[in-house]
Amino acid sequence: MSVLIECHGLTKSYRKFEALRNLDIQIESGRIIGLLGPNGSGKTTFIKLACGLLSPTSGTITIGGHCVGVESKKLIAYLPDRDYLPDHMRARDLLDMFKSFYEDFNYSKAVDMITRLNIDLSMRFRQMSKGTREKVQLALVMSREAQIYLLDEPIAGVDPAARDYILKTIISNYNENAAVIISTHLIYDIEPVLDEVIMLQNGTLRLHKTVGQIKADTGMTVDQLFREVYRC
Amino acid sequence: MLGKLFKYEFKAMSRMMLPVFISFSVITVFAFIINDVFSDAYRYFDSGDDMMFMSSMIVIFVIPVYTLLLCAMVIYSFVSSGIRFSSAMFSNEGYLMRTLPVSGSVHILSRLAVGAVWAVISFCCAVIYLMIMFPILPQHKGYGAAARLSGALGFILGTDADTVVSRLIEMVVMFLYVQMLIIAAATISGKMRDNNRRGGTIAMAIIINLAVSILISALTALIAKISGSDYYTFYVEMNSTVTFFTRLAATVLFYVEGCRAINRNQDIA
Repeated sequence: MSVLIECHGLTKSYRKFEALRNLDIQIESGRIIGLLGPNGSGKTTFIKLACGLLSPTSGTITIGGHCVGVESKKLIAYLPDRDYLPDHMRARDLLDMFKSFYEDFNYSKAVDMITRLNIDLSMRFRQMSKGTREKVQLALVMSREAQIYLLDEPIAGVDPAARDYILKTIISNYNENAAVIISTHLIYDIEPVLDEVIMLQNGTLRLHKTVGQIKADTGMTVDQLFREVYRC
Repeated sequence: MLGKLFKYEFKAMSRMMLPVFISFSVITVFAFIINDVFSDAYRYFDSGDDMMFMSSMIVIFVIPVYTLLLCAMVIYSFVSSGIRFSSAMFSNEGYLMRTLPVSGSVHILSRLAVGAVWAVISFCCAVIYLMIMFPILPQHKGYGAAARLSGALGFILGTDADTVVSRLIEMVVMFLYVQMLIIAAATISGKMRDNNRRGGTIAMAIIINLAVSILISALTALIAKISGSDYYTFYVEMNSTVTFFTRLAATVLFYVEGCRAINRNQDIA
C-alpha cells in the first residue's frame, strides 16, 4: 500500500472563518474511506482542496507525491455534490466528452453501466430526473481508472434502491490500488462498504480509524458512534 | 489538450453565437425589405401625404437602428467569450473544467483562440450584412460588388485609418485587450463570489477598463510634461499610440495574472 493523499497542517480560511484547521491526514491506497461529519465540519472543503478547486490558507497537501496541480489532477476522479455537467448535452455526448478529456476513461465500461441503468443515451442531461443525473455522473466518474476517487455526497439525493446500486457500482468498479473517499451523512447506508472512517468536527480531525478498530474499541457501529460523537 | 478544449469551447460558443447570427440575418432581410419598399414611397404618395411622412420616418430610423444593432452584434461576439470564460471557470461547470489536468495558460489560450475565431466570423458576417444593406443607400447605386465590399470594410475599420494593416493590428490588440479584460474581471468576480459577495463580470470589466483609461490619461499627461508639449496637442497627436501600448501592456499583464490565478487554484464558489 502506498500513501496517496498526505496533508500536514492543512488550514483553509474564508476570511475569519476557519473551515479546516491544522489537519494532518494520510490516506493509503486500496481503501474505501468514509469522510464523515456534521454540516460545516469541513468535508467538502477538504475534497475541494485535494481536487485543486480551493487553495489552502496554510499547510500542504500532496496527491500521489505531487503538489496539487496538473499532475495531481490526472490521478483524481471527482464527483461534486451538485450537477456540474453541461445540461444541454446528451448522455452519449457526455461519454464522448469524458473520453476526450480523460486518458484513463474506460468508454465501454461507462456505456455498459449507463445501459444497465436503462438510461437512454440520446437523452439530454437536463431531461433526466435528479436521481438519474446522479447515476450518470457517478457512472462517468467510476468509469475512470483513477488512483483516487473523491465522491462528495454521492447518495444524497437518490432513493434507497438507487443507493444500493450506486454503492454496488462503487465497490465493483474501483481499482484495487486506488482509494475511494466518500463524503456523506447517510452513514448507515455506506457503513457496510467502508474500510476506514475519518470524522471531522469544526474543521479539525476528530477520529481516523478502521471500521474494525472502531468496533473493537467502542463496541459500536460507525452509525452509532457518529450519533454518539455528534449528539446535539 | 489545447485542441480538445478548443473543440469543446467552440461548440459551447456556437450555442451562444449561432442564434445571434440567425436572428441578425432575419433582421437584415427585414431591414432591407423595409428600406427598399419605403425609400420608393415618393412614387406612390404625394409629398404632403401622411403616408409619405410615415414612410420617410421609417427610412430615417431603420438604418441607424440597424447600424446600432450591427455594432451590438460585433460587441457581443467580443464580450461573449469572456462571459463564457466566467461561466466555465466559476459556475458549476467549473467543477468539470477546473479539475481537468491542464494548466491555466491552456485554459486561457483555448478561450482566446475560440474568441478570436468567433470575432473573425462575426466580422465577416458584419461585412456580408453591410453588403446586403448597401445597395439601398442612394450614393451606392450603380456600384459593383467590389465597391460594396470595400465600402463595408471601410465602415467597420474606420475611414480615417492610415492603412488597413495598421488598423487591423490595432483591432487585434483591442480584441485581445477586451478578451483579457473580461477574463481578468471574471477571475476577480469569481474570487468575490467565494467571499460571499456578488461581483458582476461586466461591472468589474467596466471598473478595470476605467482604471486602464485613467492610466492612459496619466501616461499621456506625464509624457506630454516630459516632452514639454502642450497637453491638448500631445493628446490629439499621440494619445492613440499611448492607448495602443498601454492596452498591449495591460493585455499581457492580465494574461500572466490570469494564468497564475488558475494555476494557484483560485477559489471556486
